[in-house]
Amino acid sequence: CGSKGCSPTTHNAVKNLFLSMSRPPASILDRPVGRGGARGSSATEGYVSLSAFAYLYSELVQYHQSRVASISELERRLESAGYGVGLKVLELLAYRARESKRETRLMNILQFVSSSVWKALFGKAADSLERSIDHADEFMIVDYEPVTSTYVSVPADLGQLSADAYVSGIIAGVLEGAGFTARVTAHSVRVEEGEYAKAPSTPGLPARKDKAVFLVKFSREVLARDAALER
Amino acid sequence: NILKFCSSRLTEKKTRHAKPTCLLLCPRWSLEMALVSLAVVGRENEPLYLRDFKPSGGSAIGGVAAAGPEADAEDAEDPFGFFSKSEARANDSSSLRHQFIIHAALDRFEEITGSGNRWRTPGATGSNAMWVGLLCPIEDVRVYGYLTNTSIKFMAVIEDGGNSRQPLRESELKSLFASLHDLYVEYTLNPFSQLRGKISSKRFDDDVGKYVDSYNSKVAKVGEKYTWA
Repeated sequence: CGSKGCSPTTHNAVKNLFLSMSRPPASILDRPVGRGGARGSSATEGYVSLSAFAYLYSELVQYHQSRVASISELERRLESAGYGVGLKVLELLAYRARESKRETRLMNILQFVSSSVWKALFGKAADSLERSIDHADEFMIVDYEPVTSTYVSVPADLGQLSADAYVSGIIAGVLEGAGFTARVTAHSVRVEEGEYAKAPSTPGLPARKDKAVFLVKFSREVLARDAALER
Repeated sequence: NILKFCSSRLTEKKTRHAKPTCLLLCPRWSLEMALVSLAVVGRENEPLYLRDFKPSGGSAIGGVAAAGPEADAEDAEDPFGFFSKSEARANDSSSLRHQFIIHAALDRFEEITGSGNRWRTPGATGSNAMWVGLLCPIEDVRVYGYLTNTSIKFMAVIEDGGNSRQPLRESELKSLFASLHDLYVEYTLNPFSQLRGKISSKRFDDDVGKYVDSYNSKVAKVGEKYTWA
């Protein structure tokens, strides 16, 4: 979990895991991220700075960009990088959740992704979850300020690329781990006038012109299963 | 000379478990109700971690006697420890018999936790809710199960007490399963661990060993059993 606002609970979870091992941290790599322990719960505890994450992410993108020949290949690499994160986040959140039910319904797992997973990774819930009118198997998760593309400007010759492919990989990992195979893609859609009234959470930056829309397309078996469960 | 016979048999490294095969009837101190085997099974029922545990404290007498000829034979062949088995992976070290037992218990696991069955104790939260309980008694062992929300199954094979049929202290086992779940989540959070493969992590092995040893020392008690050794 690396982002501007990693919710304290996730880091506390990791910290508590470490403390319960009662093993003195051997090296700096073993210690939990953020200032923990002595300070108690300060406001910045458990948070990773946005600039650190943005720097690391830009290096990740550059690393892959120098090794691929096409846009779709780059997107696929970013997605596979996020896939593992998704699986692990699901495992962690399922472990930490107080309620013990496993989500088996489509709407429930989507709500889980757009609220719990988003809160754990980015510190806030996703802005909206919509169902497509044209296709029954398509859903859209909208985030007006995706962290991954905050500091990314896509050059014109890479037209369709969305740097949020990493996040779509995370979503795909979570869904796949929960038993819902889905194809997730990230798109940048222009924000309409007056659609988004909130001030940008990072002060000093102008309001974002594009929002990130994650299109989730479930496979046929998943839909059939969900329809059967409905009855 | 019986010891020489034993050691020569031991140098045949055909099986990973070179049990001494000299035929002596001797008293062996064993731990009753000890945890002898542990399995972590994944979502598609693929094995992630299978490991046997020899009860450490109680079998000191029997253990030392068995270790004698074996250690000597190995040292003679391999003075520098190039082929030493001490670095062998703890994972997959479970014996075939235990693997069969765990596989059989897996069927029962599926039965209990299958679709629509209400096996959870109502109102339980967290790791208490994931506790499945006694799966089935097989021969002289009992198998207990624990199911996480992500369909990862933990199974523990507990050896039955021979003489005294004391009921198993389930609370100890529940907390053991909770700690194992802890360890498993910590293992998956490691970005370098394989996504869906066998668990091969020394830290995981060490910590599991520690937890199981503390469980065995808490719960099991030394009992006397006469066996072929």
